[in-house]
Amino acid sequence: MQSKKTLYIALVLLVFVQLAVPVKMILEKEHSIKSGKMFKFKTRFVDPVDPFKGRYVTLNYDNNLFLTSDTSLRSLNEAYVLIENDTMGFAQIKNIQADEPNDYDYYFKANIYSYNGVNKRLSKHRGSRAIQDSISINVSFPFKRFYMDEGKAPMAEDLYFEYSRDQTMDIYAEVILYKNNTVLWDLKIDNKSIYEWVKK
Amino acid sequence: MRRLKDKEVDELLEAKIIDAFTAENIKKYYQSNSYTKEWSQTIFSIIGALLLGLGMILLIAHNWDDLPKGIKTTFGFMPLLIGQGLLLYSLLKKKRNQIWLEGSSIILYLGIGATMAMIAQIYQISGDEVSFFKTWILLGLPILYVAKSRTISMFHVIATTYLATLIAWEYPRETPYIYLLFMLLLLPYYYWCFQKNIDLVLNYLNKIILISLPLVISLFFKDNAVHYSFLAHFALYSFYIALGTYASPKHQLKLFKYIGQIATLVILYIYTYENKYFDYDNTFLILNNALFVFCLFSALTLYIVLKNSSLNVYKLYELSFIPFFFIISLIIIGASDLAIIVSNLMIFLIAISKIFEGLKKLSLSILNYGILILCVLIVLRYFDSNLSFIFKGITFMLLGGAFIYLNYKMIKKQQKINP
Repeated sequence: MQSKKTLYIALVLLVFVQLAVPVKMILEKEHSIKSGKMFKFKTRFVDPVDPFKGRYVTLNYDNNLFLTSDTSLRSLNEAYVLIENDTMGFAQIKNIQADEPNDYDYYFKANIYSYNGVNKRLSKHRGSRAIQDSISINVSFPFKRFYMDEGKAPMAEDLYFEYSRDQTMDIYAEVILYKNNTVLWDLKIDNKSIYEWVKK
Repeated sequence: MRRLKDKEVDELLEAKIIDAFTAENIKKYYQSNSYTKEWSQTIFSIIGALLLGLGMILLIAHNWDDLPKGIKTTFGFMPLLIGQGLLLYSLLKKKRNQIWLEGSSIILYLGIGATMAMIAQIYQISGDEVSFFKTWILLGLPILYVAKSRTISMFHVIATTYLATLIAWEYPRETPYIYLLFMLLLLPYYYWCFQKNIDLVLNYLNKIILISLPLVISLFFKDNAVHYSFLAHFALYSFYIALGTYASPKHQLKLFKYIGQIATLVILYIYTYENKYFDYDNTFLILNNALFVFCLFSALTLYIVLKNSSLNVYKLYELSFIPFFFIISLIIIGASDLAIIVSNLMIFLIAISKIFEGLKKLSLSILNYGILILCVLIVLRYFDSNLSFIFKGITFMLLGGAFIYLNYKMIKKQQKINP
């Protein structure tokens, strides 16, 4: 009788824990959607496949470089990346820091790669003024996969190659950020969702 | 129920477990159409059910994008819920049926991964592979202890090894210490099998763990100087030799003896070469992870050897980690020429010990194995030494002559004992 009772308790715990994890994943995302803010990240994409998770489009982001004089970041592999909007309404890195921010809600944790000196791409944006003892940080944004239907992912990539040459068209990912939670909401070409494009 | 072969039925008859009449009936039953029909019905039912299930999945997949998020989420939870339902049914109603327990455990284990993947896809959750596999392994582990599933124990080892590979090779490329933690989580199950003498499970588990160890050791020391990695590997392979030599036949570990012997020889042959790369790191062997692994497996090897036999010249193979440590130390202090000489000498002594062992035990295979080790060494030296052709020619002739003479003497001896 005792062993049957133990078995029932073990089974209940097993079912509860195994269900709790995906439910928690969903609740965190829904909470971020309700409380977070949407940012537009300029992007480029290609279409590989994940054997475990299915077909997706890989997103590479344009504004993922940051110049800083905080040389303590050099030794880190991960850091908190704070995001703000630029004058054109697209996302840019506001700051990178080692500790989780207390007074700002729109950030996420990301892998960073740092190297000395001023990256050529950065100096083009920020002028040719060199900052002494500065380091350039390359951020690997965590929201780099946009899962799509198997038939549509290659079409999305074809669309990207067709419209990326047109400088008047903005290609960007809409991402909701809230306190280290990110929700990749949509991919847009010229302010129209990728799903509408592939339906055409 | 497994089908009994005619030979097995005859064995039971010989051992007087069953009488002739029962044996005849058993054979007739298996030959009859009804038995074959039952099996074919079962197989075709399974195929039918699989096709039905796959067809439903494909229909859902075709309309996937048009489905509301709530419906998609419900479908996403299906693999997990079905697996849990089957496991609950197996444990409560089919507790003694191993096929039900194993089957439902496998379905649930795979269902965990499928559900997590589908939820990630529906909600666009971009996690890395490492987090995905860590969560999958941890959620799957309780199945092992609730259902006592042997298949899940093997899945656990394979998945943990794969996770270690991901951690070591994906940015930021860290040492996969988590492998040790996850393998420790398997320990209570392993101990339970050991206590219950479930040798079949232990044999499979041992083999999988022993196969994964060299790979994991490579991951632990891939960023270190190469001789630290070789040091840890060498001790591991010495341990394999000792394990394979002295473990009880019921553990079926003899294969690891041969793997260990070949691997240690290959490493030694590598160290017989003059290689400037081995001079690269001049740090002393201070306390580091590789040294710890070396000490651990060396201690285990020594324990096994001393427990099962006395120290003598035939134990050179099992205990070759001791001179190998000396070789590595010579390289580190900058005496790599001396290290090459010692490596060559070691192989020579291993070969001679095998030859003597073969002669003593009247075993042609061991004798020829020793001669083969010597042959390979000489062939390798042939290609990298500056000796004259005359010297090489004489050496080969002497070796060939020794080969023929020793085999001839051995056969004569065997014929005297067994006329």
